[in-house]
Amino acid sequence: MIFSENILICMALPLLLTVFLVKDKARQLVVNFIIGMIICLLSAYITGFIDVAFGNGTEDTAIFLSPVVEEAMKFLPLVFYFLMFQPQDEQLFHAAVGLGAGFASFENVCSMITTGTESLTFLLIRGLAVGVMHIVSISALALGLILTRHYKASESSAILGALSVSMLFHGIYNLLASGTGVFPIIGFCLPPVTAFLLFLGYRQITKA
Amino acid sequence: MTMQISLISLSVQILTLAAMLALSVKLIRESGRNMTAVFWSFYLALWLLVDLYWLIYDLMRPEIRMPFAANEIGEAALFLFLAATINSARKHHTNLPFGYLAGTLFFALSNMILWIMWSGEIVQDVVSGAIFAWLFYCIVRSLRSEQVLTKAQWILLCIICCALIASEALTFVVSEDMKNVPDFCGYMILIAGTVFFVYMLIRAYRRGQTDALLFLSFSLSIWLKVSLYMSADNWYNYYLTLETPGVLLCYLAVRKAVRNV
Repeated sequence: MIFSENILICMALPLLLTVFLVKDKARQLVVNFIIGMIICLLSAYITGFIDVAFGNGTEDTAIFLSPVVEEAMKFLPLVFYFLMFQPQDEQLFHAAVGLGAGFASFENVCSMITTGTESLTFLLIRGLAVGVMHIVSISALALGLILTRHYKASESSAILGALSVSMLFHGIYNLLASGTGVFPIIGFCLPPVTAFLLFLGYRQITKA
Repeated sequence: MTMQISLISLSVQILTLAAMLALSVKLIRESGRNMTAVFWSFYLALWLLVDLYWLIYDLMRPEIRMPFAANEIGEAALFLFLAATINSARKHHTNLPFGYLAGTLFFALSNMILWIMWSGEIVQDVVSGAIFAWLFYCIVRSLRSEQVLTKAQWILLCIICCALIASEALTFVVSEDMKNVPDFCGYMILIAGTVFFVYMLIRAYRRGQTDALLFLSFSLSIWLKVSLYMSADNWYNYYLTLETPGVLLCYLAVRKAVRNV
């Protein structure tokens, strides 16, 4: 049993102080990072509730339902920012990365406290895979929103499409990571490879 | 054996979808960001991810029924994208007459009720049913506004749909010993529907009707999806396998339509 709220307060306080000391893009990144951590905690509450309410079992809930909940939760602040403030592509992308990084960092800290910090190899694999996965999935979301705007696509279909892409990517990672043998290896390789492809895609789009 | 065939079909479909996606992305650039090509590429990308999820799940947990997961939301988005692709390709904007609208809604509602009776997953099937109703509406509206089918062909299609619903509904009414008869009839009607759309596609191709070809290929794709959702075991694999040439036909039709713009 860990007290995630206490961890959040301890992690967020120095960052909150930082918000007053930095400006512009740095301030935006810090704010998004904090929002990402809060979203992570709220997602854990909802997933926990679903686990208790529907009785699917903790493992199945974590594998099948947590990607849906977590991506939907990450999506909400991003789509709010996208629709309300009409940010530039770069601003939206930076906001997404900040949210993803905050989310992944908080999840990693909670996971480390639960499972222990003895094995550096395990921590590195987990940190890299989960960290990159959350950033990649939310970047895919942001990329979807950017494409929606560039191609003037029907917003409801395109937004749901972008959300589904990130949910499916997260779901595939969770499914692979939960397996044995070669499956987790593929799962841990998936986020960095996708990050690379996404980087190439983003570069193409910004060029265009 | 059924499982292995399913895995092979799914793997072939994934490879085909990946290749089609690469070609479709190229088509976006060639066509100067044509909306139909963009939606079509999104559709393929989502379908690819949904299939990948299924494949990994089947490989990891072959005997366990999949609970609600991300792929269900992916499938919902998939059909919305197909509807958006159909709408983006439509040139004439006319309203659907009441008779067509009622028939479309009846077929969608009947499908939804049958899914609920088969699976018992009320919420998921109601959501899928609503999305399917929208998809059916979009394709019927496009077929009608582009005058792809004659009145006699519409009547034939209506008879096929009604016979399908009747035979599938009968499987819940008759005794267990007799169940195979309406079940078999249902599969035969599904084949009849597939043959109908394939025949219409060939005819449209021979006549060089690009728009008709596009909407008929989408119709065939939707019919195959309906057939897939109504089938079990070997029949399921049969329609899963048929979906792959179906997507190839759709790609060729999209390419032709986009290049003609």
